[in-house]
This record gives sequence, structure tokens and C-alpha cells, in this order.
Amino acid sequence: MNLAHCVWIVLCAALATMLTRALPFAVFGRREQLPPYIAYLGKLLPSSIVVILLAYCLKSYLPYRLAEGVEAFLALAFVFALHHWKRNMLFSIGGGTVLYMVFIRIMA
Amino acid sequence: MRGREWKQAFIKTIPILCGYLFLGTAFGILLQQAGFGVLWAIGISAIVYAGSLQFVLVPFMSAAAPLVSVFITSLFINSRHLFYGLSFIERFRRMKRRYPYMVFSLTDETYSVLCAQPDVEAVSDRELFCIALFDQLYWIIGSLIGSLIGQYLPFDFTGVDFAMTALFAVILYEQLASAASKLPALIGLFSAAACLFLFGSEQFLLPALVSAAVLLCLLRPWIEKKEGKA
Repeated sequence: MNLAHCVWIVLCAALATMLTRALPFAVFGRREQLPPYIAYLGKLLPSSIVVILLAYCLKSYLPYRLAEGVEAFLALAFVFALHHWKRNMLFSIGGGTVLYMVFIRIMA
Repeated sequence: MRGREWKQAFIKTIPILCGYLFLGTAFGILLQQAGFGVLWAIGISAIVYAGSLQFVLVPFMSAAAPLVSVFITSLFINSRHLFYGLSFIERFRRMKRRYPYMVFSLTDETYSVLCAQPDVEAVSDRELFCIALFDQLYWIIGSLIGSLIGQYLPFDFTGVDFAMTALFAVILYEQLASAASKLPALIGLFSAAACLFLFGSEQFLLPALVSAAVLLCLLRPWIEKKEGKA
């Protein structure tokens, strides 16, 4: 194992990651005012992205293996139900997570 | 007030604590099994700090992959970050000396905690910084645990990372409850579904993000009409 090469691998990955995170700021960060389209996207993209990230979390079951994810989908429904009921973030997340952990142990 | 700000940040990041400790531990174990010790775990989680990429990095290191392919793969896996920064350009640049770290540490999860704030303008610089910093500390501590004692953990924590899935669900609920227009969320749903079928579950993320951005731009006249009413 060539340790120096591994250090370079880590540095390359770090640099590439920093570039992807910094690019929007590098391009638009110095302007007085954001271009209207960017301001618009910045405001509304999060609502779209959170759905996509949720799908990303469930990607091992999507789109064709829904049956394998039944514990996750049930727990997710429980999270929504708890949240609809109490509207308390940690309560909903905690309840759903505990239920999921129980499910994958008894249903496996 | 200082004490309250970090406590607030801690409470807001508890779901990330569960997720990052668990995933970080998994990363540490993987690294350990590939023959890389604790210094590598800390170093990588400190300077790369990108969940899915770090897992890919382990086989790259074992195989001494060429640097060009590491660089291009990293750019590709992390290209989704381009979409996250757009929402926080004005907020972060006002943070002066903390600005570079906020940009550096904008992971999916930190992004989503920030998106969960009803009004990110009203949250203090220090609290935002604590949110970002705590998330990375959880990640580093997780990597450290995995690297040092991963195989000997007394309790099986499998499934605790579901907390992050649940966090996204709760954020979605809150956004649907407060948004003037449900169209952006529907666009996300449509983009995710279409790209899952077109590209498969391993490749759908980036095309789905691009598709959502394009559709939002195309539908801007309708969405702004609704947003304007609110």
C-alpha cells in the first residue's frame, strides 16, 4: 500500500468536494444583488429538493422493490402521523426511528 | 445568550447526531477493515466530510486508484452540492469569518437542518455556525468510534440512521404546511419519480435535481403568481 498516494487520493477528494460546495458562492457571492432567477431558485428549490432527498434515503426500495421497504414505509407513515398530531419535530423523528428499529428486528 | 444558542443548535441537530454517529461509525469500521487506522478516519472526516464519497474512497485507497479518476468521481458524486449553496448565498456571506466554514460544511444534512428553519434570516450567525460545526463533530466522532471500537460495540444500532429519513419527512411536512404553492414539492416528487424510472435508483439523484431546477424555471410565472398572493 502506497501511503503517499493514499494521501493524494484524500486530498483530491477533499479539493473536488470543496469545489462543488464553493462554486455557487464563487459565481454569485460577490454580486450586490443575486440575479432574479438565482434568487427565485434559491427560495423554492429547497421544497423540491427535500422530496428528492427523501426519495434518496429510500432508494434501495425504489422504484421496483417497495415490498422490501415495508418497515421503512410504515415507520415513515408513523412519522407523518405523529407530526400531524403533535407537530413536535424530535418527538416525530424519535418515535418513527424507534418504531423502525423495532420493525427491522421483529420482521426480519 | 451564548449558552442558549449552542443548546438550540444541539437540539436542532439531534436527528443528525443519530444519523452521523451511525454512518460515521460504519465508515470508520470500513476504513479499519481496509487497513487504515484512526488518523485516517479523523483526517478524512475532517477535510473531505462528504458521506457517500467517503465510502467510495475506501476501495479507491485500497486499489491505489489514479488521482484523475478520484477527482472526477468526487466531482460527480458531489455535484448535487451545487444546488444547495444557491439558497444560502446572501445569508452565509454576511457571516464574515464564519463564511468559509459554512460553505465548506454544507452537507445534505446540514442543508436540510438549515432549510427546516422557518426563517433563516432570524437565526443568529453563531447558532448557524454551531449547527454546521456540531454536525461535522458528530461525523468525526462517529468515524473515530468506528475506527477504534467498531467491532466491539455492545448494542446493535442498526436502523438508528432512519432518524435522517424521518427528518426529511418532517421537513417536507412543515414545508407543505407553510408553502403558498405546493407546486415546488410536486415538482420534486415528479422529478424524483421520473428519474428513478429513467435512470434507476443509483443514478437518479443528479438528473432529478437538474429536472427540478429546470421545471421550477419553466413554471415560474404560475408559481410566482401563487407566491405573490401569500
